[in-house]
Amino acid sequence: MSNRTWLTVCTLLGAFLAYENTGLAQTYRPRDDAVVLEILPKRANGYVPQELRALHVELARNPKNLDLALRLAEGFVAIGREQADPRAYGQAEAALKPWWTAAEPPVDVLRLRATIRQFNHEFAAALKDLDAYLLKRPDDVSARLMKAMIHVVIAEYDAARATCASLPSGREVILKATCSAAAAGLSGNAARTLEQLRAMATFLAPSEPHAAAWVEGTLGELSLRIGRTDDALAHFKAAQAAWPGDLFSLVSMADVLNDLGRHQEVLDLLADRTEQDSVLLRLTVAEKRLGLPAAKAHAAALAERFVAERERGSAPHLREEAYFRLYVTDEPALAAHLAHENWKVQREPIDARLLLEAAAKAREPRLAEPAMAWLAKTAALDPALVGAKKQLEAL
Amino acid sequence: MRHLTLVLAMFLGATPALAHKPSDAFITVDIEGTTVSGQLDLALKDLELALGLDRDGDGKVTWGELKAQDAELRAYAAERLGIATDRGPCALVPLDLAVTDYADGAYATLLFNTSCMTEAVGLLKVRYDGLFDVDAQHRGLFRMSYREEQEAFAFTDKERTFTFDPNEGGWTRQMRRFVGEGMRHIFRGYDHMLFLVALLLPAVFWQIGRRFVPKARLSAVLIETAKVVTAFTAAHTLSLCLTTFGVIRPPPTRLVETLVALTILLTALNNIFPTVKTQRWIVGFVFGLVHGIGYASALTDLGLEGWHLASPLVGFNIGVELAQLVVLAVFLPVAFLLRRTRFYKGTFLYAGSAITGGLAAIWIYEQVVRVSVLPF
Repeated sequence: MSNRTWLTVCTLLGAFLAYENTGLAQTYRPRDDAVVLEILPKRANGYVPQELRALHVELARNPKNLDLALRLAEGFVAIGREQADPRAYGQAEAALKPWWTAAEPPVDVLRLRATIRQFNHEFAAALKDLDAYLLKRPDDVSARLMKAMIHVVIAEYDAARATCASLPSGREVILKATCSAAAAGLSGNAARTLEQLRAMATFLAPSEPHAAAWVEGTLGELSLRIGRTDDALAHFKAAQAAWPGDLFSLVSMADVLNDLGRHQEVLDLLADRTEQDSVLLRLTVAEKRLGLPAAKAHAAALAERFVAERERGSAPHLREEAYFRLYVTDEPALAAHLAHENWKVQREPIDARLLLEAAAKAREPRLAEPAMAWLAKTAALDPALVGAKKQLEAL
Repeated sequence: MRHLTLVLAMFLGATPALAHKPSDAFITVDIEGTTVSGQLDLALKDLELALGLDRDGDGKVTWGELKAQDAELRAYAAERLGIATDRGPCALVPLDLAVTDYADGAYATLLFNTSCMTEAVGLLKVRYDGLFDVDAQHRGLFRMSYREEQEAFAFTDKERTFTFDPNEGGWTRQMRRFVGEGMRHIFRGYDHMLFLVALLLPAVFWQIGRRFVPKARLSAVLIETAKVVTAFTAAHTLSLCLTTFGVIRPPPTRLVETLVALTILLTALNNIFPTVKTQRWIVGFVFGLVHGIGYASALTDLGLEGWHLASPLVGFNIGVELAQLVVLAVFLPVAFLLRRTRFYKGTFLYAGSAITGGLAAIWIYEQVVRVSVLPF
């Protein structure tokens, strides 16, 4: 059986078991009219949901009005970015429907479509849109950054560096430096890159919170690459301070703390952020290692979320599923196959780690080969990556 | 502080914050007999955009606000969810409005039923035009239960209809079920098995006058067996089909069972006092017709009247055939190996036929007088 078939069989079996035990949905009639059923998303990035609703109504009457559609999609993408909520991205896509499948849509549709596609992990399609967009708007810094970061996620570091190099060196030179550092740090130059970026960041720190969080998060990543865990924690903390919504630094910090056995701190850090699967996963691992009863309920909730994804038939979140099978349910063989599939889509350090550790635990070194090759090139010194590599070599 | 968090984690931990999930609606349809009951769950977050639930604009949707939109909600749902059969659309009767909590928040639940499902419905079509205009990644997750079957389907922007054929939809499942039923029918009731064995007991002999001479070659045994079994199978398939499709009016069960028992009695007697000696396949064919009618009544007993019978019929027949093959696989080698022994002729052929004939006679008696003599 091919890996894909094997995975499908396993996950469907899981889906079946979970389907049998679905006890989450309860139907009831509230007694009191004043009972609050739902709290709607708050204003984000200056967009007020009520205003978006008014735009939606207008657009429904006149769905081909590009200006209306762009304003609405822009608002939803802003909310989606702020809250990492897939629903907002789906709403943005619906607003752009008349142009969604066009080969050459209006230039602003290209930019928004790339953002939505990137969120949906359709990286190749997003890059294509971005290239078309940048031909028309070569000066758009954020689009260029998005392109560079997608190249980093799929481990195309040369392309990423070339894109970073094409950024302007003006007022936002720190963004250009961070962009290059994110790529260089994974091309075997982590130590030197870290020193350079850190020096620059001390006197050129951006004031805009998202950008500040990104710079600090990148510094944290680079510190991890050379095995300096304490420095990494400090940078991730600074990123959180700059913009608490930054998921990357939050999740990275939780991973480091869990690795260090500081599970209690993970509980404090993540307790009220569990709307994201990636966050709930780290929390569940901490609870599990502390022997807390909550781990069981959280594991069940996660299993249910993965089942729901499969049932919808949308692209499964392989990274999260692999993490779940490896650290929560202790199924390294299944985790290794999921991580192997995931590596075809995303190739960040966490993806490499999942693949290496799962393959080592499952004693399937062959599955880890692509991540081993990646590790040899990046020369990363993360204790977790190096540890897994040694285990694999000993097999 | 540390202690406090631990304690809180124990109590609060079980309810994680509302998950961020893509937009889903849940559609459940249960068919029991002719009643169809359904449930449509739409996320309040989605409905807020589609209908504007938050009337006072405080960023919260209350039960009162939802109830106030009851009529709009029903109209919205009626426009976007349709159930039809091959005889036309079903009128959905709205029942209660309620609330269902899912991992990503509260959903408005609309309960409905409809009575358009009759015994003769050939197709069931469900159309969902849900919230695709609100969210391009929206899915309508559909689950249906019909008899013992479960169907699941995800409606998407591109695929908005789901067609269920109660008769063919679960073709393989139905087939499998009826193959099992067919085999069970043979193994549970001893009558068909006994008949088959009685019919084949003399297949290892040449009958010359009143004498049974063991056949030397296996091929001769196999040819004879194949002839008899093929004739029997062709006949019972024929009468089974003719009866189920109403070409032959099925006689009363009592008469059928009496006739089946009679075929066994006659076959057993023919083994002891041979009358038909060479053209035994004719016996197989004629009596097969009777057995086929018996199978048909068993099939009808499974509650299939009025439904498309093709797949149950084929499945049932395959099951009967498989069971026959099992009987042959057990019987033939033993019979062939033992054919020269006195044991075979004495015990198997004569005593076996006598016992079989006796049993059949009792069955006939039971049917005619309506008493129960045998414990099985």
